[in-house]
Amino acid sequence: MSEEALALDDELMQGFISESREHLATIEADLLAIEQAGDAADPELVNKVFRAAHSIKGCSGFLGLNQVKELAHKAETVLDMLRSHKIRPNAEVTNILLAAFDKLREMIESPATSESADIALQVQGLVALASSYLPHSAKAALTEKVQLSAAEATPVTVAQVDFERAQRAGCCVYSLEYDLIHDIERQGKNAFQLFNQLEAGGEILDVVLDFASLGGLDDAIGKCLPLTIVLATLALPDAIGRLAGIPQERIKPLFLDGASGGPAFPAPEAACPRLEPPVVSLPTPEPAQPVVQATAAENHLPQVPAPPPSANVAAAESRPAGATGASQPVVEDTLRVNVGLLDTLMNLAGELVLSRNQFQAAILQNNHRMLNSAGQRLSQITSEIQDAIMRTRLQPIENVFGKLPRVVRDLSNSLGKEVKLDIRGKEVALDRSLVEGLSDPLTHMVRNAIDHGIESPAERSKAGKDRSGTLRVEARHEAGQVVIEIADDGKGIDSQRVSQAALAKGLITAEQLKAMTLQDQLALILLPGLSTAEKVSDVSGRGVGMDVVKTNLDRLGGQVEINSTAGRGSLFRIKLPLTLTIIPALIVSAENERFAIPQINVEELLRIRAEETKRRIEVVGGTEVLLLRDRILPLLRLDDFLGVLPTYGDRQTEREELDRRMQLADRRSPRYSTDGEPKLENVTPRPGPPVARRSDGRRSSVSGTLEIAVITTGRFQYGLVVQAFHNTEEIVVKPLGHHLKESREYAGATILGDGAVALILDAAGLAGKAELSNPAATQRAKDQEEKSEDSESQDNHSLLLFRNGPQEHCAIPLGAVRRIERIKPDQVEMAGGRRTMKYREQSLPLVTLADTAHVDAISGARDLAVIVSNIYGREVGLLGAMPVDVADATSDIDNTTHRQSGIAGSSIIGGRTTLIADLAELVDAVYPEWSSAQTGDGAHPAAAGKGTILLAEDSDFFRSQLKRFLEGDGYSVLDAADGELAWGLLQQNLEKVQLLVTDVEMPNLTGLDLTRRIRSDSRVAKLPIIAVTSLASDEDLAEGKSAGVDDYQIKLDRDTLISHVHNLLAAQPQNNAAALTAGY
Amino acid sequence: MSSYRMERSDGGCRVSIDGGLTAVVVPELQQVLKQEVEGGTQRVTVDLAATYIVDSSGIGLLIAASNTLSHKSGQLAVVNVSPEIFRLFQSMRLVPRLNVSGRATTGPAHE
Repeated sequence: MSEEALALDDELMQGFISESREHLATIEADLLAIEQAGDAADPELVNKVFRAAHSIKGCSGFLGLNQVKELAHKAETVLDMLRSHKIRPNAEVTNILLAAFDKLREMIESPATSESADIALQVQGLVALASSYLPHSAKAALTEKVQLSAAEATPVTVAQVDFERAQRAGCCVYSLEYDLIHDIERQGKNAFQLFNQLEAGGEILDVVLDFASLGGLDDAIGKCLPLTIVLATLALPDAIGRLAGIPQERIKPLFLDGASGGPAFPAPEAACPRLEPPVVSLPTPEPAQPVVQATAAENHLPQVPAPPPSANVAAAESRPAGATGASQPVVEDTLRVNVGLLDTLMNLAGELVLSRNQFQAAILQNNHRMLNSAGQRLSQITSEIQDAIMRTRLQPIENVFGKLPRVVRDLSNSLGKEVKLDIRGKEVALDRSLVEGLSDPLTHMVRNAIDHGIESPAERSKAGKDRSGTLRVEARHEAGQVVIEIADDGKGIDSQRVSQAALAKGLITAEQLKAMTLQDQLALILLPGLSTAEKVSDVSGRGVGMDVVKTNLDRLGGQVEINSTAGRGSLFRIKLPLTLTIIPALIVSAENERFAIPQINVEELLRIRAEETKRRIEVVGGTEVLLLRDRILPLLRLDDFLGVLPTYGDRQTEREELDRRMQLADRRSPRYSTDGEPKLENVTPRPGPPVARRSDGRRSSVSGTLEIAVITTGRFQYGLVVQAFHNTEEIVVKPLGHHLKESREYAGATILGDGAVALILDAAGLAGKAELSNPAATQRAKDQEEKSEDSESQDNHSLLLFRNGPQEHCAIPLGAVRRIERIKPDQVEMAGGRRTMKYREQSLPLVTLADTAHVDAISGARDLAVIVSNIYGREVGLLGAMPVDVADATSDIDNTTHRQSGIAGSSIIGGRTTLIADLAELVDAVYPEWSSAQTGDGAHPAAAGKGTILLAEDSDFFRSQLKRFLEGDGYSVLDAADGELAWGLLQQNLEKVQLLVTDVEMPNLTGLDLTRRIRSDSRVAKLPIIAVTSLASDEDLAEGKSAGVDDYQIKLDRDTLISHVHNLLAAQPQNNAAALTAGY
Repeated sequence: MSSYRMERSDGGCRVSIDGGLTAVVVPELQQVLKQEVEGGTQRVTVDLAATYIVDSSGIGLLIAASNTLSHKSGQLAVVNVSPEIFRLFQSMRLVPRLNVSGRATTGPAHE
């Protein structure tokens, strides 16, 4: 073959590949749509798929891709049956067709090797399909031949199924008698051309070459080579002559042999009404009128026999094992770009040139003003170009989402589950590198959701859910990031099982587990090697999946959050930056070294003045924390952490000196030797365990002001103490050298405007390294976890723990705590038999447990804790000994064993008996005049005899506390231990009860259900209801509101509760009137 | 310019055609093959690795050789056929009858 021909071939091949790709891109979605629609499938759609197969068959034949042609041909046969309603597009059919097209796709992508591809499996599947669907009598047609003959022509036999297909299409069958030597060679044509031409105009059913008649080596060769071609074509008889290139007398129409009665099909003229244009292109849709004589049979198809297991199962299996078969997102090295965008870029390029000229002129002229303005212009254009180029790289996430339907379908079928896939946000666009990188993780998580999350239909029904589970995959833009959520309504992740499995595999220690929040435990599934699946299925369960997901996502700069509720479902949230390389970042410094923090990680910047530090920085459980409005954030000092030596400018020597000021705590820090001097050799960045943090919050720079950046990792927040903030810049992220790749705290590096190098901090890595997920430090996070845990059984109460005597462990409900202060014993003053201390320009009354209860007095000369609370509208401090900690009491509170004045009860916390202080009682005992002052106080509108309150609370401890608060304020209280009992009481006291205070989580009838019941009963619908609970998330509030609760209170804040009760009652005019007139 | 090479090995011979298996070279080849077969060779392998075109005469030759060999309980095989030529053989339903097999890779056979 000449080089030209070869080049042409290459171009043709490329064209074929490109065209086939286009066909194949939509075939998958089309087949799935056809399957969905079933019998109601759009015939045009079926036709479309048929034509795609037909086109591929034709072109591949033309190019010599025989295996491709063979497979396409078989697929076309099945599609034809689909088209003529001989078979229904059920799951089995679709599976086999999908497998066939997968293989075709594979072969077309590498045509060179396609010839040796093994298509036996797919062909077997297709043939089996074709044969199993034929009515019994027709089954034989596949292998059976029919004999066709015509006058003066030798009979020929062709495959019955081919013949019948031709008939249905309205084709006529002819026998064309050639002598290759005379008709072809001597005419200067070649056999290639002949066959191509004929194939273009119809279908060659058979070629008959009589070997015997040709003789052997002894005979003359090259005299003639007779060949008969059996062609089925729509062409009219006279056109065939032109098509075939032989005289008419050698073209003979063929008829079915042995037909009973009249001719098997009408005379050629009538049966071939149209002329098929002989081009190698998509044939137009088959004419409607070839009566498909099989239609009568279709409704009586025998039940589909079980498909040959090997073909079906193998086809199904091969897909999960190989990710998603061949439907990977095609990694093109070309890109489609909106022309408008290119125009914009062109414009900007022009502007850039102008600006540059301006700039150069300004430099030449040394004109500062010109320089400034040119610089500004340049800066603006740079941003615009950057933005426009980024946009060219954006791809809609649909490219990744697009293959999920198939994954979901295949997997749910093979697992016998029903799953509805809900995809939202297909148009959200991402940088294409992100899109490529997302494909595997997303697929994996979707498979996990179906495999592990969504239960079988039977299990779901039993659990009262819909038989079919819902899987929601959603993408959206949020605050400069792309958020992708994968949510299922399955059985959720069992954090217990996960953490036990992690423990068993030695991936975490028991110590670490104790300190973990629910989110931490859920995040354990991201560890390599963790799998709680009982058996390793082909799909997932090898435990190598989620950690790879995490690694992939890390590489993309993304974060993943995991939320789950047992029995309800799970939610995976992925957050990705919009671009990887150029990001806005905040520049900070620690000891004169500059670092960059990506803007998306920076939530807030704070400056805390020296005098405020005492108030806002506490030490809890050995960790420094920052009190920020309503939150407590653990603090991390950057210079500490990175091992940078703290220095200050010594004014006298005018040198940087090592900061030698130390406190008590410093002496204990391992960084310092016993004589108080800093040990220099200890101060190196350690790759190992975290650097010990100082437990005292008062070390600070010379000026005393603290600069704190509130950092978020997506999962939680913490405060980063730095030396100074600088500006926000757009930086170009450069990867770290390989020698630094182990360091989790750095995400890369950048070069600042002045040429200095700044390392980019990795928010999550820093936190992880410092083990900042300590629950003692993230109080709020823990609160949130608590409520998402199994909270049906009992409330979790947050308690503040402190000591009294050295062995006495005490606690007070955290809700009652306003502040914690740390003081020296000598700050306590005794005056008039009462303890006080100077606090914020005033005297703060103090009480201790020993004042009323039989406990030891606080002893020891060390620091004391003052727990400041509000009782009867006044501040009072409860004295205790350090250390102070926070814990949850999940066990019951025993309110009898240790009950005494000032002690409400006890609980076992951390294995120790802990006395729960009742501050109100203490205050009543020590300052009795306060409470009487209050009740006599006219500030409360409803006069003496305030009315009846219904109280529903299942915990004895809290019920008695609340009851006492309310009665102490003058109300009479009807109390009940659960919702049902409360309802009963209400019924009996319809006139008396003026307000309901209810817990939320109670047995028999929850507080919210009680509320709903009340709201729907006209007799009591208007009753003011206050919910008192330890559940305090936005969702809970919203739920409470929608149930009809008027007010939501956190346990156990007495004063706020009382005042809200007052307010609600005051707002009820008829109640007041009733109360007054009824003379209660 | 078409040419051919012949190698003999035990019981068989291999004819490699360089260029075209066409009317130009067929007469000569016919004689060569005839002699081979009469000399007792039973297995003839026609190697078309370097062949880029086969015309009707060539096909005629192959069929004739096949016929003669089968009379003598021998066998003809045609190997290393280019994809295009393979396709031609396929269209003519000759692949099984002439024991035709293709090449591992595509590529110009000529030059």
